Amino acid sequence: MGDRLSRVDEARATRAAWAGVVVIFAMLVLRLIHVQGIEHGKYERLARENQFRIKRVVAPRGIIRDRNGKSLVDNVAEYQMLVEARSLSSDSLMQALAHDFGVDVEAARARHAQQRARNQGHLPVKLLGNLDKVMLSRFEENAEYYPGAFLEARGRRRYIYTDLATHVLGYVGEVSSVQVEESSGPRAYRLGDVAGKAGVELLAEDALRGLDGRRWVQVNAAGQELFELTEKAVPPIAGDEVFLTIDFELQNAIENEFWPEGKAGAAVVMDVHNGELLAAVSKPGYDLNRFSVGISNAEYELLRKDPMTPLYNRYAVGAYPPGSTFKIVSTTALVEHGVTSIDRVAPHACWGQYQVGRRPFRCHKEEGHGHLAMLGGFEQSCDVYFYQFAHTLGIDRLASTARRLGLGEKTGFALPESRGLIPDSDYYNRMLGERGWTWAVAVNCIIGQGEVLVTPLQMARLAAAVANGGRLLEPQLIHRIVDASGRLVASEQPRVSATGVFSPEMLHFLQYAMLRVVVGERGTAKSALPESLLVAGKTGTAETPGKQDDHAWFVFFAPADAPQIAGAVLVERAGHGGAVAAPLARRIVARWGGFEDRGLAYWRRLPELRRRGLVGGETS
Amino acid sequence: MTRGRDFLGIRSFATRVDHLALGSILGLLLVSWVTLYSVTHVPVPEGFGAGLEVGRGIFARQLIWTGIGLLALYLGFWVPFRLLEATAYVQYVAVLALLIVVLLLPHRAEVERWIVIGPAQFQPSEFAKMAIIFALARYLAKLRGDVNQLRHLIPPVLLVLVPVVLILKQPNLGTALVFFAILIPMLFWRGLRLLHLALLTSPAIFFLLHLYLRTQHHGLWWPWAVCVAVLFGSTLLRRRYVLVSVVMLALNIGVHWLEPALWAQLKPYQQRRIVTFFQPELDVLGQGYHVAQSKIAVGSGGLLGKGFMEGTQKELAFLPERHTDFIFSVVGEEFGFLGALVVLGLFALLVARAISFASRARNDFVRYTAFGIAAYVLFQVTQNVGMTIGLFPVAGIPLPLVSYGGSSLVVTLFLIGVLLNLGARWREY
Repeated sequence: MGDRLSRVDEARATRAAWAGVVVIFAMLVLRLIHVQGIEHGKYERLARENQFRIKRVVAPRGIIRDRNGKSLVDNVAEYQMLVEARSLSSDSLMQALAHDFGVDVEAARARHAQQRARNQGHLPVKLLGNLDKVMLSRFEENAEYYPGAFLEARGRRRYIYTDLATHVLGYVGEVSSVQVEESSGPRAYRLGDVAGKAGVELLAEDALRGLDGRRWVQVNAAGQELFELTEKAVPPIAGDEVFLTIDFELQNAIENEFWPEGKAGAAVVMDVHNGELLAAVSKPGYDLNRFSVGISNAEYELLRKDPMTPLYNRYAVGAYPPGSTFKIVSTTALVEHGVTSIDRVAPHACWGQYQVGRRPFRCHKEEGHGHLAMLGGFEQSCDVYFYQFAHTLGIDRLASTARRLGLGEKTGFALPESRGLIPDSDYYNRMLGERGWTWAVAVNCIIGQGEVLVTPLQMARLAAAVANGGRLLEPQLIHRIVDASGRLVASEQPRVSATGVFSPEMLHFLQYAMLRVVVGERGTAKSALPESLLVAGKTGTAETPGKQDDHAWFVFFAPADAPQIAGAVLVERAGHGGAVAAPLARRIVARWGGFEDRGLAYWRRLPELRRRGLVGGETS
Repeated sequence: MTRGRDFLGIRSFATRVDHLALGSILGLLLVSWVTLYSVTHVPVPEGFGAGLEVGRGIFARQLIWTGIGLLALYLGFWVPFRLLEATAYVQYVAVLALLIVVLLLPHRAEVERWIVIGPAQFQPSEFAKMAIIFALARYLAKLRGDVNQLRHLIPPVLLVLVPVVLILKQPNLGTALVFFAILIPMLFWRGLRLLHLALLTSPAIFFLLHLYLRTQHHGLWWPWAVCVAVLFGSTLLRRRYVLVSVVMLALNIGVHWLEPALWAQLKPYQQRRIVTFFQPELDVLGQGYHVAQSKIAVGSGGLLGKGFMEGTQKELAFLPERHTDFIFSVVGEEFGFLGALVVLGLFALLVARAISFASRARNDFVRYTAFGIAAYVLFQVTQNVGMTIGLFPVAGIPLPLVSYGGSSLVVTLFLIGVLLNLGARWREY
């Protein structure tokens, strides 16, 4: 009989079904006996009065330090006022709080509605942040009149040097509702939590946050704490400490350079071996503490509309015409594409200007530089030397070299950065139409004017590549991350974007030529840096649209013969690069490390350097 | 004796219905009213439970739903059995269509489980449970052959998998589980052997093992390999199991490979529930909060409870979902162990009656339908009560007949009407 179960089978299945039912109900009953009988005392204790609450202990946010361990950002105690969700409906309580502390009842209820929508309806609702001393003592003295409301201590972010390294550190703010929704698990955000919003605060958010702890407290019907179950307490774990690659002394010294005159600008100093940023300056900055207190919309608008644009990160997002500093790229392009060679004297001598069709292109020196080879053209920054090759080289070949050298591309920096702009024929076709432009655009671009835009970060990286033998490095900002117990959690490894970006011949030329800019008889930085052997660099004076002053650039590495750092300095609307930016760079290098000591060594080696032809003498 | 007019068959109903089963149902409905009244009619003290109180309207609405449900029960009692059997597959297809409609409707919230028609809204997944019982019963009754053979086993599994996939897309994990809780006992009732059952359920059970290992042991994999080796080592050696074993082994390995992707498919709240179940202390403020508060309520009830309308946990709004999924916690708090025992006893009585209807019936369709209904009720009770006392993870399954909720109540009462029908007329089929 295949179609129906046999009697035996049916009996077997019936017995098994009964057994299953008995086992299942027995299991439930046994569990009930356990919960309601054996553990009854424990649960009754928990339910008595008004049970326990689990209160969160907010973990202190990690400290941010400079590379030598000096703390730049820490926390100070701040009190928030919260109210139990259940107490929010008590009109007498809310009226008292509104009267005594100016609590906005409607806003608090709206906030609770938001929490409920995220399944956090049972959690306390934040009423006020950053209570001052008067409010604090008023609350504590009258706590029994505010049943259900309580204070919670949490750290407020303190930026010890207010606006120092504004565009590195970033700031914190209240977590967005999107973040609350997207987070989950034990580290989920709650409305009212603080999270990094910009800079390293945002970049290292996961490390800085820490893990909140819990306290189990028994409260009475008014929500006041009676007793803490200390054995159940879970202490918070402080956020990891983040050590930046930034050197506070250097950063501070550079920022001070910008300060008294109130000039705007940027400076980047990079370790040429590994890409670590020793300083990253964008001035003016702003007081980061205003954000940790909770910046008002009006205040923020004021910052946003400030004509000095303090919110703008000039060293990484700021894209400027590079001016003559771009000649590092132009010379490389000329040699790379065989347009001319290093030792060939240019066919056209400089008489102060160069004619393209009927249009004269001026050199910065009206009386002209005369006949020059590449070294002379670079050292004296003769524009005519470059103008004459613009047609042969062409805009596309110039652009391809510039891109290879990391311009017009992102550098791999962890914070937001701009690509800058390296125009090529596609770009002009797109912007001006195929017939809207001529090859003469290259005449402007080859000297770093026209449409070319670069960031100080890109130029510092380029200078580092000249100094370190042609390796383009990703700029690093975080040196290492150490947890609260001092254990190393992460350390940054150098990341190389490209190697061998210069031919050996070109590398030798550029290193030598950049030294000549500073020490050569006719070097453009000579007058600004008398007898400075430490620094090798290239000046730039970038014309700006309108009749405003030029941007002053200096791109450098140091010490010149055994480079360790490289950098770029840009001072907006300050005039000549050799006059303004180069001295600033020199002071940076002096500050960076024992100028005097190293300087002495240099002076002692001067005769040898003279013999090797590295110092003095004419080049043209 | 003069035979009076039997108005709408009421007299006939009253004499022929199984009084024990009917009594248990009425008892449970009474428990539901009493508890819901307590939940909704104790005022929340000033300053406690802002927006957390359960409105009084809930009680009134449940009374109306109970009225509708009792009509459904009566209807179920009088529906000719042959009609249910004949239309089983039609009902099944209609419900699938409804489930697809739910998926196509615009999203209402994170979860989409409702169809709204005018003022009424209902959950098609509730009707799907009913349809699957009839469809499986019809398949098993008509089956000429041994359900232990793979080719006879695949169709019922497919019958269940289609609505489960549609419901998982909604997504509603708890309801999807109910389907397997119906399928497996019904197959067993048809004579599926325990070893086969182990083989059949191994992908699901080992999937749970995977989740446990993932959340608690950082994705350790060798315990899984050992379990699989033991199970399939013992079956592959027997000649008659080779084909089934190979297929199931392949399925297991498939689950093993797919598990990370399936895990990623779960919604964050579902992942949280699973993690919280394995390690409740992780998340006392989130999902674990519900279970912790529920256990305090039940545990503090003790032997006799705190008395009707005296529960403090419930009153102070510590108990979430206390009118729906966690209503058993209120019973446990206010009426104590004895009250909980009475409720469990009423359910046990109902299930026992259903099983005895199933075992004495001569008609196969009746056998399987009655047993399917028993399994359906038993699973929901076990899961729901187990959840409130920390035995099982939170799965969003209501306590049948007692929890507030219209669709579930009406469907359950209709099914019980069918059950009473079987019990009253088992000789006729």
